[in-house]
Amino acid sequence: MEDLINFDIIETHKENIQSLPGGRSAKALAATFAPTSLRPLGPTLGDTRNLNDAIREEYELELIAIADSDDPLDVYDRYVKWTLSAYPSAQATPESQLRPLLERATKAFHSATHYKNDPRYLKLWLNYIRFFSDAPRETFAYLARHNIGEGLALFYEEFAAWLEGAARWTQADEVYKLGIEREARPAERLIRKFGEFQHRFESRVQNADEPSSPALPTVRPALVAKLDPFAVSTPRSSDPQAPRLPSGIGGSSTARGGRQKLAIFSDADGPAPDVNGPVEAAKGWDNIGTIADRKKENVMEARPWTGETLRAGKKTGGLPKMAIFKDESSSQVTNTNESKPSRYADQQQVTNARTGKIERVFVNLEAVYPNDSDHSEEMSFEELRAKSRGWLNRDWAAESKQRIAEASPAREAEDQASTVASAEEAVGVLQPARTNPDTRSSSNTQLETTIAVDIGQEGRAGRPKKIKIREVKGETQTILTNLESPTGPKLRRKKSAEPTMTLHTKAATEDILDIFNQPLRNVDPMAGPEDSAGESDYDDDDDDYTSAGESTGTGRISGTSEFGDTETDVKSVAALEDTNGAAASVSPWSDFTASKHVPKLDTYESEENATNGATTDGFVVLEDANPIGDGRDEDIDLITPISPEPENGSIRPRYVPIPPEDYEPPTRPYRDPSQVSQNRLPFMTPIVEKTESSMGALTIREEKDYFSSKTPSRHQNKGHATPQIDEELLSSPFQEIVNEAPPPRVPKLKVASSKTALDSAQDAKGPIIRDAQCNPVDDSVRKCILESVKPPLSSFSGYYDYRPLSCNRAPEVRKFIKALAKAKSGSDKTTTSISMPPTLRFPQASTKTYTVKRELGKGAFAPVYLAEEDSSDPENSTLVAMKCEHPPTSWEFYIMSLLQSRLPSSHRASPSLLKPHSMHLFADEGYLLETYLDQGTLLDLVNLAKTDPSNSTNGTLEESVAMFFTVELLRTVEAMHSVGILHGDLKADNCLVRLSKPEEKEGWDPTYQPDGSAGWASKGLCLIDFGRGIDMRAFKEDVQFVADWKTGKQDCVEMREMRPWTYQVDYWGIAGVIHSLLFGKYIEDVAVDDKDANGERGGGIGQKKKYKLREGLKRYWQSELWAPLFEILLNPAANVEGEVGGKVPCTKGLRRCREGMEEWLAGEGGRRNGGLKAGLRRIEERIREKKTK
Amino acid sequence: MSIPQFELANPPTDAISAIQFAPTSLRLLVASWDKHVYLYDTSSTGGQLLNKFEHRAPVLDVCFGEDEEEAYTAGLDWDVRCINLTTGAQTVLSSHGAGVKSVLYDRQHNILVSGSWDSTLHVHHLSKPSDPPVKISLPNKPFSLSLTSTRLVVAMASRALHIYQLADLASESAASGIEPWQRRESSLKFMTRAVACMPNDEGYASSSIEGRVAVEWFDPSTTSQSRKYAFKCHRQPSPEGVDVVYPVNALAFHPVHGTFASGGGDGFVALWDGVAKRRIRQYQRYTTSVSALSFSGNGKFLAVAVSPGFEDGREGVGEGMVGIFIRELGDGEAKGKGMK
Repeated sequence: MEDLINFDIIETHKENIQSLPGGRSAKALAATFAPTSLRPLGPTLGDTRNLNDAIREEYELELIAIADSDDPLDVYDRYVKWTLSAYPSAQATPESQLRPLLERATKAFHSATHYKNDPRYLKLWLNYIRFFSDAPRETFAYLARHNIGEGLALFYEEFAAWLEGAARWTQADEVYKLGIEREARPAERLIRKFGEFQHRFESRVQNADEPSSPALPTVRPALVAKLDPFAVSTPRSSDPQAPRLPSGIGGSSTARGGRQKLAIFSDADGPAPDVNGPVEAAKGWDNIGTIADRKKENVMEARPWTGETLRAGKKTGGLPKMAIFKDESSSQVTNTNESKPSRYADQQQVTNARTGKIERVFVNLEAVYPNDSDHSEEMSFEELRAKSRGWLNRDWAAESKQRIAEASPAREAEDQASTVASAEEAVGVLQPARTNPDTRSSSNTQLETTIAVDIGQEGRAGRPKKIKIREVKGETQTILTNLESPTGPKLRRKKSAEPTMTLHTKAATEDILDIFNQPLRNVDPMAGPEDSAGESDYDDDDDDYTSAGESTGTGRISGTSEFGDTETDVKSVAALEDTNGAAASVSPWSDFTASKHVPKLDTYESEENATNGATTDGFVVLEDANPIGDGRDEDIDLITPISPEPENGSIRPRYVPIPPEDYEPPTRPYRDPSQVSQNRLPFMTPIVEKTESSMGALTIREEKDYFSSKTPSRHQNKGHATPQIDEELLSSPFQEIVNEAPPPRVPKLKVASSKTALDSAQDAKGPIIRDAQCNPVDDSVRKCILESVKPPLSSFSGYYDYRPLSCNRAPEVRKFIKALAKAKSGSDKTTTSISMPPTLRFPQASTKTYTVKRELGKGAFAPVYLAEEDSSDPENSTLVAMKCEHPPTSWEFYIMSLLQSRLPSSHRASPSLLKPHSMHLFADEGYLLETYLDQGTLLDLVNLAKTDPSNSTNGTLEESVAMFFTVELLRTVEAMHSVGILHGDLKADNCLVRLSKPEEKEGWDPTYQPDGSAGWASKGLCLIDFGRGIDMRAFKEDVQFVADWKTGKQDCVEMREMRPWTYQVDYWGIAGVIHSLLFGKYIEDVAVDDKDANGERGGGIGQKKKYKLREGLKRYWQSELWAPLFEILLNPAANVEGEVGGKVPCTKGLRRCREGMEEWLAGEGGRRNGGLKAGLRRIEERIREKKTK
Repeated sequence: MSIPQFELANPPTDAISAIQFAPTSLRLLVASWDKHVYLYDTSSTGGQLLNKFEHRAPVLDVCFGEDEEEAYTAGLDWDVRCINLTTGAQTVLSSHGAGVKSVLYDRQHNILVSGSWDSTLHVHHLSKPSDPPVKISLPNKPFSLSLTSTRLVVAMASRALHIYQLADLASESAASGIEPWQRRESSLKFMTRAVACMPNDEGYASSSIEGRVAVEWFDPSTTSQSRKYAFKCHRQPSPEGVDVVYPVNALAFHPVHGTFASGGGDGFVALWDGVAKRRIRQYQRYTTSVSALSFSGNGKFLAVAVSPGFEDGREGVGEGMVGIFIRELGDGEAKGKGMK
């Protein structure tokens, strides 16, 4: 019964049983795993261990006496066998100690010749190879080198099997042959195995690139010759260095390599002998070493921890150089700092992180900072010395009192005895209540100026520091210092730490979003209070509220958040956390200004800067912990979330109410700074209007899109729903603009009855539209104006109204143009297939026919065609621009005619305004015929400059040229404004280049003449597209316009911010044109807070906001001319001082700018780069070239 | 070429706490722990001890008064005294509640400011000697005072620093409620050791016990504050390869060039150009800690007081350990190199 083995037991453990070549004794296994009566669940780990340890002990004892043993190998053999059976998973468990055992065993006999062919010894080796060897082939080679198992077939079989397993067939073959040749026993088995191998060898898949080196690396014959010159034919030589094995390529060779005196050493592809470590005494291969020995480089030696520096954090020095392993760690731990562990030991001696040098503070810090808990208690050296000498304990007051009492004027040198008594109490006196400076200052309500400074310590001179000053009123300022290492963990330093709103990089946005994604912390939004009331509140009850910042409301930079340099700093954090709690954790907010980012609910004023994730995301979580603060700032914290500092632990998130869902932030129309920064150009809007241009080659034929040769244009009177309207608007009768139902917006009309001349009639009769606010381009408003103009439109020369006749020629023209375009694009086919160009003949000007030649510009509403005007006289054919409008409107013609009538043709600006020839109005279409100028627009000019390879100014126009056109534009607009007409749609593609030939008699003087003399009058530009023109005289004098269309960045800021506007629209337009001329880009503005206006900002709803260009003026430009111009153009409302009536138009200011420029052009600027004339000439030339191309 | 420096004969017998050159002449006042104030004439090599004035207790600070016949002293006997240097007559101006660390005289406003470890400043209006001094309480013990023409900088324990307008201090009305013009925290992590103001009234330098000097500007504007910096100095390698960081005991600005000298516990005196952020030169090491520095009124001489400074808590005062060296500065020796 006992012999029955319960295989179930083994079965459950089979994963843990290591397979052995010779199999295992099931009985032994069962005995190992079987539960006994004492251990019903099988042997526990501890039991087994105890048992095995005892047995091992016996074996070890036996090994000690091994020298006396007849058969020492037997001891090891049994020991190993026992280990294998006692630890079924011997290899995997370190407690089996199999590996050291095998290493010991194999090492013990590797020089014992009588065991060399003992199969037991070989089996020990084979076990070692099988279980542990990291380089079996090397070990086999080692065995061969030492003649171990040389006569045993087992060795060759095992070696060959391993080689075969590694797909080294030829080498395996070689090994078999070697074994057979050496007549290893049992020879039959070896031969049989070789036969089997050969069978496999034949049938295997041929692999061309298997290793062809000999299975056993050979010793270099040169060395061999020295060592054993006669060993050639003595394969059984006891010299381990003798070449046992044949060398040779291919594997079939036998022992003959020894003869080759100059054989080329063929290195084995696999293990190199040098893995064996340094060859001692020229005897390689005499020790294969232990595994541990071979892996020693990977093992870290355990050392005592004392005196070791635990490196933490990132090191700046980059990666350390590869450390070279030293066998014997000679640098035994020498504890240099064996002084008693002092509180300041870590500071007394610090390691410089940069240089790695140890720095020891000479000063006895323990003495200087006597109070462990309170670092603020310091003792100067003098005090220490005085203390040590006993002076500090003397109470001189008492002494002098006593002296007075005794009336003894004689100075007694040392009256220690008399003072000792009072010394104790004196000490008390000597310790004044040392309060925190912050606490003290807090009691002072005058503390209004708090400065937080972040100072790089560590002698980081020149590192930018941040400082915020709230106010300087001669009050006490506090400048706090951040001492800690800038690599401190708390503050993420950002490059854009400057808390300005303009830096909306993607990174900044992400940072802000990060803030929201952070887990709740003691975060204090730290919004700068905007009103002084809030400030004083703080100063009263918050001792250490060290928020700073200007009233722009930027958060302060935390001064104390960068702790973590050394460990004591952590302590100080704790200490400071109380006092500076607000400051310590605030740093992530320093870039985030709640007052800017949180929408102001009480006003729909759209802060330009409010464009960030916070507003658009819908809600903002302000982690605001102070209910007291809530109460205190009830009325203001929606506007400016003045952040009450977190008070111990009472943290709860507070949600700042955010506008309802349908609230669309008014920031939408603005350029989104984060977007803008990425796609500055080209800029596309949904509706693109290609305005007329003679340079079809450039604007139409070419697909190149440098500067996108289209200026985004606005919707035409679409009455778009405007999401948010200015507060004032809400009370205006135009509230309905919000809805998509514009019809009821027809203003009341005042019909003028006078029939006098055009000019005087309107002037006399006053405005037609009497609304204080309206949309000037609204259809109904226009219609009303047109209907009520006196004299009526029909009396205008060139105005032909055929209504209700319809023309219906537009489709034909369009078709023609389409065909034309197709013909152009589709290869170079001749245009034979194109139908005859359509010819228009208008009933009331029947003498003239207009043949459409091509399209000049295409807008959504009014394509402009080039037409040839044929009168009966064939020589008199001229080209005109024909604007084809449908639905027809005579508005543009009206405005153009007004301009012509109001501005005498002798006016300097007159040539710069396009003249209307005639207007043919049908019921379905309207044809406006205008003068045709063939030199393209300013936009074309800019693009031309970009492609000009010879241009030295980096793809922009020369400054003088740009200024020339600026002056022209300013003069023209000034003239228009002077007669009360706004263009309304100024942009670079609405300005035609007008570089016509000067009249012959005049010539063209190289010196610029502002008055237009000497041929300069013929140079300039010409404004076109008055479709959005506004006649101010049709409105009340203090009219304010509102734009009800969806605004874009081509619109002036007033429109975008839903503020009323008048002349601003043109100023913005001018700025845009100039910007394009100067920079070759569309204008981009940024809002800057007017620092001077800080005080008024509390009440002013963004009125004081200033705008400036995103681009900086080039340093070599005449910034003293450009800067004031842009200042006025971008901020007209802020520059009305000195203007008539103190309001827009800023005619005077602009005139000053223009005159300054004219002066410069007439003087120095006109002479630059060969002169302005030459510059314009070049442009003319370029335009001509382009046209002929 | 000999070192342009000589040691004063008859130095004090104990550690030196303060030295000061007379504003116009080459007279030098030395305050010492041996309870004496010494008056030397340093115009001749070796100097001449003109007089010495005994006090009840070690003297911690001394300064010249309105003229060179008058000096003010402050000491561990809690008193601020006026000494007539010719007659030796002493009058007690006021008494603090603890040892008086520093005393400073401002000629322009004719006031004397003393700072004591009882955490008060006493402002004495010397024009009205009968009046009790105005007492200003400080949050911490003052360790070092320095004056410009308009401001007083008080460096205190806990790394606090107050800057007062002298006009405020001198004004009659401000009897007690004088508030500092600025409160600052030292830029240095360790205890402030000394402070000295730039002669051009723009800023000050402060030093700490941990081998660092910070240079800061009064102007609270961002640009000015961003100029502030600190640097390491007075660190010497020890034989064991450890850098020993010494306290910077003394700072003195050159009255003409605006550079400053620092004296450290390592016995070195270095001249710095605070604007260009450069060390101009460093002088040969003195035998022991430099405890005080003073430039002469014309900036031609630098007096260096050398004595064991009790930095490591050891007295170490022995024979030959205390000395005062007068170093003659060559033309432009203390001149800044300018920004390079």
